[in-house]
Amino acid sequence: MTDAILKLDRINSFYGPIQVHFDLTIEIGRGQIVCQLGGNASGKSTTMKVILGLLKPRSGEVFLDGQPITGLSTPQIIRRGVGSVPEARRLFGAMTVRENVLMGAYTRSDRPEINTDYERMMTLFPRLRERTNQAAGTLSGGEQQMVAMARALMGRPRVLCMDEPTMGLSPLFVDHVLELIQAVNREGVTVFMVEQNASLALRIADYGYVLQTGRIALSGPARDLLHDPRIRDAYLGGQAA
Amino acid sequence: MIALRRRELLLGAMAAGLAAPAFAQSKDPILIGVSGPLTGQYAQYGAQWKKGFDLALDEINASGGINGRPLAYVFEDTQSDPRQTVTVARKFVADERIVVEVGDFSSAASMAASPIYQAAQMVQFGFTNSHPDFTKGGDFIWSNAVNQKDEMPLLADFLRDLGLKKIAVLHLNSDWGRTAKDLLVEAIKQRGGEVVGSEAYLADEKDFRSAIVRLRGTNPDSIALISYYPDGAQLTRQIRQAGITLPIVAGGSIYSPKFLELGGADVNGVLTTVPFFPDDPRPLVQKFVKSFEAKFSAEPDAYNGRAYDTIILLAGVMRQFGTDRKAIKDGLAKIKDVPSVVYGKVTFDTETRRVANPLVSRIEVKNGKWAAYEGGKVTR
Amino acid sequence: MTSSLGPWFDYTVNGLVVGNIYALLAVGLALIYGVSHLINFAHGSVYMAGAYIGWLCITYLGTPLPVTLAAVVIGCGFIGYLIERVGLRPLQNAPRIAPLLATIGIGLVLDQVAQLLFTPDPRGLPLQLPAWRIQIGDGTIGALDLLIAGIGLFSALLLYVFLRFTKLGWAVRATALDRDAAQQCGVDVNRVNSVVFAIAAALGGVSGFLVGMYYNSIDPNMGFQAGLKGIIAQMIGGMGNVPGAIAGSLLLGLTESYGIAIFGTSYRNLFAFVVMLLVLVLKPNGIFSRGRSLPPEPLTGTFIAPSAPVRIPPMLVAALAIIALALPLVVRNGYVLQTLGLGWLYAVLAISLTLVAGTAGMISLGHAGLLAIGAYASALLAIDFHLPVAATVAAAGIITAILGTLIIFPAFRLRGHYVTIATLGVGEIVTLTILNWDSLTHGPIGLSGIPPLSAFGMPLISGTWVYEIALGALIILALTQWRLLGSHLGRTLRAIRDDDVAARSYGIALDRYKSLAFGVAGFSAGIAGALMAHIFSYVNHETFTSQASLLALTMVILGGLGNVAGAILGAIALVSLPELFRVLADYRMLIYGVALLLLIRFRPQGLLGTV
Ligand SMILES: Nc1ncnc2c1ncn2[C@@H]1O[C@H](COP(=O)(O)OP(=O)(O)O)[C@@H](O)[C@H]1O
Ligand SMILES: [Mg+2]
Repeated sequence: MTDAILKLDRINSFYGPIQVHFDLTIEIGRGQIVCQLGGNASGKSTTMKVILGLLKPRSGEVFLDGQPITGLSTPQIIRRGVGSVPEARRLFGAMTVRENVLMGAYTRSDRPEINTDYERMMTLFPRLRERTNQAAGTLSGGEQQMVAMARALMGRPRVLCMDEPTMGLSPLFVDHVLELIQAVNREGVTVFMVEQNASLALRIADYGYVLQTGRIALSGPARDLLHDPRIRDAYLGGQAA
Repeated sequence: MIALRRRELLLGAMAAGLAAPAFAQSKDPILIGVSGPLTGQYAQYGAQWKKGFDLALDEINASGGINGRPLAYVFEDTQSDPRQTVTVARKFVADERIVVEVGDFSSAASMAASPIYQAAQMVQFGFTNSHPDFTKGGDFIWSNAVNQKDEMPLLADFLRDLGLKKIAVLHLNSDWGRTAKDLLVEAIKQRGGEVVGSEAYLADEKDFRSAIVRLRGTNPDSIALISYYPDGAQLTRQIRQAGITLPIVAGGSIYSPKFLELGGADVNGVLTTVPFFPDDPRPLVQKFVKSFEAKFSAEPDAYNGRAYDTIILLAGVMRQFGTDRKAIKDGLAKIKDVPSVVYGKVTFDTETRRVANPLVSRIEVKNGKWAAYEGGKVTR
Repeated sequence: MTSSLGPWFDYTVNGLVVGNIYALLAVGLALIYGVSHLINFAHGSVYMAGAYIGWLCITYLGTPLPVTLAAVVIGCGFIGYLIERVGLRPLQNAPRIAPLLATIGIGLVLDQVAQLLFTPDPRGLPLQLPAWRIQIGDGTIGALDLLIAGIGLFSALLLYVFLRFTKLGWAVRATALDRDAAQQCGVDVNRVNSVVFAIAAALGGVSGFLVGMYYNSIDPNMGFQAGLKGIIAQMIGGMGNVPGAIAGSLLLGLTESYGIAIFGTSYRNLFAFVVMLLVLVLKPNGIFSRGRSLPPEPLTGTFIAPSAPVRIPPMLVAALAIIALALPLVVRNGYVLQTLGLGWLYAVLAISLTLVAGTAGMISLGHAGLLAIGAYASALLAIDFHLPVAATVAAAGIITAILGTLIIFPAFRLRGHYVTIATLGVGEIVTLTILNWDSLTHGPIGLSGIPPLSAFGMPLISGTWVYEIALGALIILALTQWRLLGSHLGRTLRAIRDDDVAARSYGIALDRYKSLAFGVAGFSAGIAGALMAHIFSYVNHETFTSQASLLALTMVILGGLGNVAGAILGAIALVSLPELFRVLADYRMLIYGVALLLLIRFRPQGLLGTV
């Protein structure tokens, strides 16, 4: 991959004395859907935190469009075109759906354009239109996922980072969310997503990385990974790599 | 164990004995240990003390100090907290340069330290300790504060002379306030009066509206306050704002220029009894007031006056009887009719170790000023 | 004189007037809690600062009321900004106990600075309003009452508009709800924090100024009690809930007023704390919440810092103990021995606190209440029943263990800040009960003539005995506790501290273990209190106040939570330091406050580390 919009270069990250990432290197190609797979506690969410500047790596760099962003604060990184759909959605539960979605446009000040984008979101996620003034915390899991995606997209990100977007959703909704991700990607947004459900993720992704206790155990085009026999071991968190 | 204590005492005595010959020639200052509040909730009183002390020391040291040696004080902050007064007491008794202790502010904090001063045979001189039990701590515990047992009957006399019979009492809920209130209630009853209601408030309260509503329900003909000046001023304001015009008679502890500042127009007509007030025409008082105003550009209050008086008194004892710890104790018992800003003349009752027959003046707030009460009708 | 409406009407009006004043403070506290999940103990000091800024303007510049108000808003807003920026932001990644303690330290420093600048004497703050009063019932209401109510309502409205309709307001709400998620929307949460502290401080300052005018009296210590009332009010209304804070304030005002009406004036604060505790236990989210479930504490970070404790070899401990025991052979100065003796007694209190706060994870700000129980128990047994002091001290330990555990029991299900506030309340309730239970405790008069420590009828009052007895008690209790912590009980308690949900799911009976911890802690604290009573010979309700609790907590944090050796080190350091600072007289407490802040800033896990 030559044209990486986002690149993690030999990241070593820690929580206190505990090391999570060991020389982690990931490249995310412009316009692609890239997924990060791995078992529980393999460090997937921590990768997101490193990209978003919520956790500073002890060594290594994160590049956005070739520029290092490692030292920047989270809001600064968001302003540079990274969108985030956090693990477990993390909506502002007591605020309305409308307020949640518009919070996504916090970094922007182009009022008319924001309104247009808001309308587009309501078209993309028609279920939300009926619930604009409902507190976000009272929505179902799938609806919350839509709010989280709409919120992230309102910032007009160039890269959308999604941490387990299908977690806890009914199978019907899982398919729907995956379709939405593809739709977003078709509009030119690069998607970097974390998934535990490898086969689902690889079905829509272009490229995949398999993480095992903080190291890349396996990577390659999604199609290859889908058929790789080792994927099952890694995804189950086995030792072999 | 006894041996150990004896040896300690012996060491102390030896130290004192060794130091004694050096006294005559030395120009080192003679030290008074002051235990009092410089921080915490009573900090303002410690600050007032210092002014009185400083003025007294200026005068004493300008006129030759104590037989040629300067007099000075060491002020240890205790926040008037019994834990700290005990520690400070140990410090003072272990320091040979200190010949007498002054303070602490509250009787409770002072009494906690009394056993240490008594055991070390060093005078603990409490000049704000009105608690009747304070000087009962031993023959080294002395006070020139008016005993509440003396003050409260005088206040009750005042109430009787004003023709007030149904009295409602508001008092600070501390050992001091409570003791004073009990004594006042007793004295009022002995004089045929009746206490129709009493309310105890906490030290850092500012709002007394509901307490006042409660007292009003008892239909009193007057209100008695046992307070310090900040809370006394507050109570008076709120009593007047509640539309109550009954006469207010307060214990002398409210006496301060600050009472007028904090109370504003509402404190006009408040009556009290004090041993000291600056408008007293006695020349000694006027001289004190003048030099105080010259030094601090402020009118002295009761705490300034008492602090000043205490140092002058102790200096007099030292000049006459020497600066040995024991000599000071013996001297206090021997002095007669020492001039005093507060009392006019001071002689100690050697039984109670308090000022014998303290006299008080009756004063009132007139047009925003403290003035002698001139009898007649109570201003409402 | 009797009114047609009767006294109850007056009590109600009085309650509302006072509640009105509490509200201005509570709103700011609620805002800060909402956004930072922090109980700001420095808020009372900003309130005091507002009063003094107003006083300066009026006295030296002769400003009219609107200008004075503007100056107070700007001045206090700036102080609030500074508190956040300089005092709290560097602690962002520290455990959450750190900023809590920092606000206490900042409050202390601000109060002391004010005292040095303006002297401790109260000053009048002239009313800048017409002096007319309206008769309502039997009482009256003045222009200032209306102004305070007006400013209260106006600021609530302004706040509502700000939070609902402005972008920054949305950011404040979003940050309050989920700080990390707000960051991921591009919200600069640091800026939001600054703004919130500035707004809250401005509100607090205005209320201090208005209250100063209201009572025509301001002083450097006016903030602590007021801040505490604000905290209670917002707790009643629901932590972080702005409209709840206003309602909680009015309710608190009414409760106090009715409490006075029914029981008398000296019951006022007792009532306030009992109501707060009831709300905490029955409706921890505030009286307006539906559920009884606890609000979630923030997901990131822990309340207590994990760290590697410093290991001290047992031989060294034994050697130090022997040196300490032998010290009076060399040092004969009664003052030094008394100070160190007190240090040992505080060390007993500190190891007791470090067991509940550090090991069991219940940060208590009411531990002095246990001292008070022990002191009174032993003193009363000795005075009223003439029992030998050795027996009364032991009995005091047992009584405190039982009583202490019983009164803290309702707070067992609380966590984090809620425990801290609940225990603060329990401590105050103990003090106020002592004050009001005249027949048993002699009320405000206190207990005097408490017999000194003695053995076989021989009084032991010299500094040496104070020292040796305190040290002996400490060594025995510390060894016991140290053995206990290495056992199954210690491990279980730490498991509960680190994750009580998980601990529960492993079938650990939380209440039983917490009771055990409090029982042991109560015993130690009771012994310490009893020894203090016999050493001081006098105790009253003010001997063991929240200041002492705070001191104990500082010792524990200084040494490292849960760390027995650390608690002892912390106690000796904090009892000796102020003695060393004595030469600094008026600056003593200021330096103490600064030292506390520096400690929190640079070593939040304590000198010897958390166990
Ligand atoms: N805030 C935190 N503090 C300390 N350790 C953490 C924290 N968050 C995650 N970890 C640890 O880091 C490791 C990786 O976590 P995470 O990145 O969340 O894994 P995943 O998302 O792959 O399940 C785990 O062992 C987890 O326990
Ligand atoms: Mg994860």
